[in-house]
Amino acid sequence: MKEISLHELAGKAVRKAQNLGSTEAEAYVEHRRVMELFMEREDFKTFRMKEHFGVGVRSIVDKRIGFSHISRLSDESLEEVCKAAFKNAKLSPRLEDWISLPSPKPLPKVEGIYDDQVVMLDEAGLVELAKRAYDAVYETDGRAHLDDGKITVEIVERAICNSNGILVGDEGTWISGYITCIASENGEVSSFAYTSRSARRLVDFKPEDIGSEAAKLAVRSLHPKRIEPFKGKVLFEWTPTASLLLSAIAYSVNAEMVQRKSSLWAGKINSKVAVDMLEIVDDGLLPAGLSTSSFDGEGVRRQKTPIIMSGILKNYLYDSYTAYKEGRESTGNAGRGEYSTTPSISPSNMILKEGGKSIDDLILEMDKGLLIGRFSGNLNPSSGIFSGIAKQSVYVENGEIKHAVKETMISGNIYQLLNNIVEIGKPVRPVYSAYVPPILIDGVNIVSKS
Amino acid sequence: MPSEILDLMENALEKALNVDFIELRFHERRNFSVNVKNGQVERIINGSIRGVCARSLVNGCWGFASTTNLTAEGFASIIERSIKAAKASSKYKRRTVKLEERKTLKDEYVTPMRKDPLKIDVENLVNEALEVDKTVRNFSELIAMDTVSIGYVNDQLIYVSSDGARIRQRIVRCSGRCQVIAREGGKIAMGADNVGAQSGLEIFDETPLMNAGRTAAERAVRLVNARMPKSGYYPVVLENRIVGLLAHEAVGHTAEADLVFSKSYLSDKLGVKVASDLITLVDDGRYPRGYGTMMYDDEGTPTQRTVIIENGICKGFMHSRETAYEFGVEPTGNARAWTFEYDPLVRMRNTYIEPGDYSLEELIEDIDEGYYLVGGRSGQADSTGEFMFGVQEAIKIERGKLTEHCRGVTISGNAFEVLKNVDAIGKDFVMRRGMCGKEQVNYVGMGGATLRTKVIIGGGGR
Repeated sequence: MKEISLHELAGKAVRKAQNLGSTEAEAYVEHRRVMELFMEREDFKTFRMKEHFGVGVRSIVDKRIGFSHISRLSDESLEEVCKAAFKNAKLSPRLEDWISLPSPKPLPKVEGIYDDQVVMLDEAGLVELAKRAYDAVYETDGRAHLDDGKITVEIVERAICNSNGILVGDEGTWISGYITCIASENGEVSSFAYTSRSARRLVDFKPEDIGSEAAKLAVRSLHPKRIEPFKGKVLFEWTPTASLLLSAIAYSVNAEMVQRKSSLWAGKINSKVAVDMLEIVDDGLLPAGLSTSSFDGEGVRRQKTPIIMSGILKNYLYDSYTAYKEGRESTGNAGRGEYSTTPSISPSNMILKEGGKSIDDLILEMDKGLLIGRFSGNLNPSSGIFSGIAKQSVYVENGEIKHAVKETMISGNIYQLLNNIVEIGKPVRPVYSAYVPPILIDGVNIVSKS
Repeated sequence: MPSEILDLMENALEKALNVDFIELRFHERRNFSVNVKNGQVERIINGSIRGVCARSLVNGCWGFASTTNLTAEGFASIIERSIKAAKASSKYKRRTVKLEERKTLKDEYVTPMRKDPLKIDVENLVNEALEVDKTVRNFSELIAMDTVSIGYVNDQLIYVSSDGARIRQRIVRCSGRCQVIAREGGKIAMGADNVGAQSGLEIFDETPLMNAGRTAAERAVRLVNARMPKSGYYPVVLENRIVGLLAHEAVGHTAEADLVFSKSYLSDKLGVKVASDLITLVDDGRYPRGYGTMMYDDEGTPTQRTVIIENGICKGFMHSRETAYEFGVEPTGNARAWTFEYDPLVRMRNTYIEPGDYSLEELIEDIDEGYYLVGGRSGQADSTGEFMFGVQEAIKIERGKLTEHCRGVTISGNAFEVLKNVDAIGKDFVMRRGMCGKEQVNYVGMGGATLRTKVIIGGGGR
């Protein structure tokens, strides 16, 4: 029943916007239910239950675009939001290269985006999941304790309608969690160690892994020592691979950045941008993927797009606006966080193909280097230049982990380092919505105080 | 609208039984923003979110529920669900939550302003953004991309609690930002600057976005062919506009009571010397026009000027009612929530280091080899006091003179070592706006005057 009504509401909003004089219109309607347990200071802090409705309307008036959103779905509210979007469109100058909103196409089937088990989870069930994550911290290592953490269950129903005939909707489930740990021993306190995991299905969600990994990372960073600065090998674990490599790549293959020439990869399709072993695809249809759905934030069908094959740049990621400008089809990469945001290009499930060696095997291959658990710093994705602190990082010599490091930073240029990849490890894990393995890279500046 | 809502809230509160304490918060956020990219209005957005939440304390456990359904049934349902949530988490709850007393007031606050954005046609903002964009693009042929945004956020907050507090606040924040990317061949550089305050639209007359646009454009162009600074441990002068980042990221977080509990660096330092005598560091909930200013926090506690460090000595921490009770102190009004969909956490408001009396020339002239660091980027803190934040530009200091302009980098260090090494502070105090992310984000102010210390620069090799 509800899904029908979201579709109807979206349709109603589009008709209202057209009646006001919009040449084209689009409505995105959302119903979000969230249940989460927030933990703080070694204890449960707050059990939260949230529910909201909302609609975002794009009104296009003779190539002028306006947007408005509202958290109410009554007839008056739809009228109000459509009027505001229409007014904003009239305020805007013409976007001369605007072609149109997208048109309907048959949608692909996707699997694993909705799980009854998640929907049926009640308050007591969530409390038990949080307790398992919490206990894992203390069971893994007595020196670790929980600073904060959260287990969240989300159920999102949405519908998109536009004046070109798109009318789509779905319902998805997510279950996710994070834990931040600190370890202490002999009056010494470690840095914050952070771990997160997400899944679409309850069966794929292991709260113990969050607690035990955060605890291990915290303990690993105890008793750090200073090291001499050098230029050499670093082994990025999953989180820094996602936050440094994949976020730079996501920026440079974003068609908007390419068209605005702020991507260094503008004009580089079919050029070599990385070592042969690097393969990256953007797969919006990955079964049970964190960003999987049959349509994107504009209602355009999602697909699997090769990004880098054998080190060669193959494709950019498009929404319909940037695609139509070039006379091509959208790749289904219009991302949309919530009803209150306008669609903008973003990867779906960006997957970096794994190699054959585990972290332990890769450590054996390091004569001298750093194993990096987390990168706390800044990346300029247009130039590729980054610098920041190596957190939960340990010094490796002759294939052996020696000790944690302190006051140690790393710096370099991601686009140069893509050619310095020595080895890609395994397994692939989801981090945020990227799917990455650990990666061993040479030629990184390791900066320290001495 | 607000008075109808207040009636609904009071009625709902009367029906909330079997709770130790309950509070309801109504929040309406209206926002408007214009985004211009390369001469095109990318989007004009306005929006309205409106909702209410209930937080119940039942047998020492918190439960929270929120909804966008603002009818009597909606209120009844969140109260019921918040109680259910509290009971569900009681199974494994370790500490019993108790709340420190605070003044329960009936009061109203509205951001002082001359140009109320809800009463003025905001069409001018579109033209203003387009003009800044045009000036920026005409600045140099090297400019590849620019983004200009300008807008306001209007928050209407109503707080009612079972212990009698009735607070209404209307808080208006205006902000603008300009980001510029310059490109020559395969080289790319970025510059960014922003303006904003808790104020009406008059802030754009007083601190024009055009100036921010020029600063950003000049910087991006200047840095296209610049080198990276050398990496290593150097004496530096931090520009006044980024000293607030040091106050906030490096020190502020370690004085939030929840982190103090987790044995943060400051946890056992009350009354202890932790910084140079020159350092007085304050978190002020009522700093005039501060981006984080509120007369009352989201627990209805009156805010105050909270001294964290005075002349180098650690004096106090930031508290909610819950942590204040545990520490046996007064709540400081630091419990803040991002929207009606979050319960409040201990957060900073406007955090700053008080100014001294040096001029910029005096600060630079004693440095033989070092950097003058300007333009802020984002940062992060750690329990150990180790911090990092990005700077947009590092200007080399050689024998007391500014020489080469180098690219931005991330700087780091241990906050308290950095504060102990502060040997001179300027007189050019500024308060800037910022966003802080904890479990949820929030608006904050960050302030300070140009100062001299030592940090690690994560540059491009030695």
